[in-house]
Amino acid sequence: MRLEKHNADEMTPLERIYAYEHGLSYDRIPSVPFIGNVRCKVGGMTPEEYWDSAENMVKAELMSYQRFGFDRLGIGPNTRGISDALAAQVPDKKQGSLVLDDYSKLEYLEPVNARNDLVIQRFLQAAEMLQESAGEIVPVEISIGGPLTIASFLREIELLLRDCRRNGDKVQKLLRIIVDSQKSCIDAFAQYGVGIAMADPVANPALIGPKLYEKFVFPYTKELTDYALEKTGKKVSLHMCGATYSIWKYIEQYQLNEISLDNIVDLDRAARELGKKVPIAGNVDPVQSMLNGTKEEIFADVQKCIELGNSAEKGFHLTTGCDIPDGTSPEKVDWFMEAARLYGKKR
Amino acid sequence: MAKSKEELLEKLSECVLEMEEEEVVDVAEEYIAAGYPAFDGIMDGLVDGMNKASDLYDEEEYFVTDILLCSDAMYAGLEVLRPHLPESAQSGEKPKAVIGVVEGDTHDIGKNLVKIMMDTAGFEMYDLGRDVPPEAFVKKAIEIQAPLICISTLMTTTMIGMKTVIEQLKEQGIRDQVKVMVGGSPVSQKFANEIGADGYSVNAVEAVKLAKKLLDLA
Repeated sequence: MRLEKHNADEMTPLERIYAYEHGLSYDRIPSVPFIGNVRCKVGGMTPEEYWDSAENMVKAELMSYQRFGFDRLGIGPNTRGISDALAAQVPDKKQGSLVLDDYSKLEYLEPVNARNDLVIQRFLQAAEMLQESAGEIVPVEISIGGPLTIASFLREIELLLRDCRRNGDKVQKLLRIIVDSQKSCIDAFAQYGVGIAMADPVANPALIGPKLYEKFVFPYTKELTDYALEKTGKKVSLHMCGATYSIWKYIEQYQLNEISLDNIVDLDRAARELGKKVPIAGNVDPVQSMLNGTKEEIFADVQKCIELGNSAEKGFHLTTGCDIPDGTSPEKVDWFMEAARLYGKKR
Repeated sequence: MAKSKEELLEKLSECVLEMEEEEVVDVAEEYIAAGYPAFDGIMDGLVDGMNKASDLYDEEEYFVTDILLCSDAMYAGLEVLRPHLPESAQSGEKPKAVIGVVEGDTHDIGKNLVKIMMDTAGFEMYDLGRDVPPEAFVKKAIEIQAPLICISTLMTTTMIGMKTVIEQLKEQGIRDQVKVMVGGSPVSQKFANEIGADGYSVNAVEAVKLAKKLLDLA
């Protein structure tokens, strides 16, 4: 199956994004609702069926595009896939984040080799199929998660947070292995012509504050975003949760396609400050508007975001403030896109 | 030269604020050896330090990482001082509260933070942990006669479990005896109103204020 332009739009996503970035005339603002498991519902499968099969991932993504017509397709191992691949190296491992209950187990870990890894394999297949079916009209991005969040999937988060102060060298050692695994993923996925997406919820400054962000997150995110640009020729899309004001000074130093902002962030301030340095994206409320809101509330939120975000000098994409929760009706996403087409027309 | 009570109290407070988990034990032992009352050491030393830490957290000078380490120091100091409390102080009536994360969710940093802050504020906390079925909240509240239940979640899919707790309190005929406060990232005042909770707080510091307000404590 090859994707075609969505009926409700005049341009394909690639045409739209090109026009938007080059100051040409475009039909509407680039819009990406982070649809989470809504894609599984649209594809007629459970999240488990989605996760276990490359064919299902591709099917869910293509069917979701056909229904909604959003401006980016996204699949990928994400935090969960990369932490699973790393955890698989530890013998007699315990469940979940107890894999590294003891740092002596670090000796078992080495960077994942994405091309040969069993967990990563199906995502590579999916990336190839997706790019083949859709790459001519819509960008495809592969999510590789975020280093500190992957670390929290291997070591209990309250221990990990304490370690940032007490056992910094061990955390750095773990992060090095994680980042090299992510770079191996970038290498492997780059061959298909796709872009890279990252999200690092645990690097939220409410948890670690700006000083620890500078030490344990900034250098690695900088390294990964630079590396991804070099290898794929495309800038990374980064999502950060939380009230991120105190780390904007770091975020503006990354090479980004967009920084997508939590719905608790003041989009007006973000557009005026952060939007001078990097393209911003945001931030329709995933719970109040998307899960629980009426059509009118979704329209109002979309309109507000477009009005505020549009003043960003480096550009603005309409997104949700985080993944839309499980159980959100796909109809809500229809309304989000309908509102984007209405309020996001180029004036 | 022996240090004065005030010097040692200040030192206890500072150890908590500066996250000195080992030094606080030495200072607490020195304080007890000098014959000063354990109760003051807890309230004017350890708890004072934790309160300062929570002020800094409120001002975004301290973050979750810092609060965890401060609380480690506070609890280490408590281990030393608590056995020296007079019987009457040990059995003194503290306001009781049941706390936990709703069933289906295993994220509990937020809940743990609220627990630490409420511990510090003098509540006797009964922590049911994470992934807690609604009936367990109700059962525990009845068992210990707690006037307050605190429920948290990070996930939208589990939010509805909060409503179930409230419904079960009604079924048991004790809804008017137990206040319910809710929190967590997807939760809002609007949601709290919808499910009939008594209060919502946006963070751990606010949670303490809310708990005191709900129970009419100073």
